Amino acid sequence: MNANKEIVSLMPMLNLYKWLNLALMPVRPNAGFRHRLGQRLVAEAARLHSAHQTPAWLAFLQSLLQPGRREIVIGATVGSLISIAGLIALIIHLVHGHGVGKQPVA
Amino acid sequence: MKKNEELGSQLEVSRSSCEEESERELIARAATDPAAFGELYERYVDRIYNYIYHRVGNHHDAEDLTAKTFQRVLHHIDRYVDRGAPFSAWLYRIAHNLVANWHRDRSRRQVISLDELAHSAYRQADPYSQAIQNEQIEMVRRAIRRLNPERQTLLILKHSEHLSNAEIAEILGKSEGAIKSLYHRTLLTLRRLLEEQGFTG
Repeated sequence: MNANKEIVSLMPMLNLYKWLNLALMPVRPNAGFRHRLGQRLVAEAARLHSAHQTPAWLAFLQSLLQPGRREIVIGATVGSLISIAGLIALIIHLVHGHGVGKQPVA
Repeated sequence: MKKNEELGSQLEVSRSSCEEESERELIARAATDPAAFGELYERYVDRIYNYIYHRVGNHHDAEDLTAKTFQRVLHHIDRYVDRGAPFSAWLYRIAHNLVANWHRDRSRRQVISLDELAHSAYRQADPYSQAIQNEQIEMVRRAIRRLNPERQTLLILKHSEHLSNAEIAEILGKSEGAIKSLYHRTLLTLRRLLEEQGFTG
């Protein structure tokens, strides 16, 4: 008896469920529109992609900054700078230390 | 038997995770590969069109808003970040925002075209019954459009796309329990709105 009462009270909801399925039946786009829009979007994507393509030199620089390569590049740069600093120090020492350009003492 | 069931469910999990992985790859490629974007479009255009159609009620505006949705997707896909929600959630959100702008910018005009009235689940034997049913379907649609956008989206995803509560929860960013509760409250509200209109279905 209680089960019957429950079913009766649920009837309006079940009915509503049926009407919702009817009212919200899937609607598909017109085939022509679908195709034309797809083509337009792919053409636009191609245009955007070619406009945004990075120049080769920038792409090369970016590749140097990839993880893994970045540490090697930093290490090589620091090492080079130290070598250059050492070379400059040597030149300065040679110029001032050996008195290059100084007049000999009489 | 149990081993077969376990194997079966393992296969399902690995198939679904393969599908997720391939979708992630497709989305990543779509940012720079027009063909990949085209494939994404093919996967989702029907669902997005259907959603927009049921929100705006006519094909003309549904086409216009669908085009705008995918143009927006195209221009922003390089900024899309996978936060665990399905990709469709992002698409529905874009579509939802465009529909909200559409409602705000236009005055509420009811566009009822003959082809929309003819759209019906099954044909009745006689035109009179068909006309009655079409009118009732239109009443239900009008009542749906009086609900707030979140409830409309819930009904469309459930009754039109036939998604489960779990899938809808992922798209709307809620728990499954919250979706069940929201659905129940939505049906009660809808029933009240229909009764006010004198709906006799």
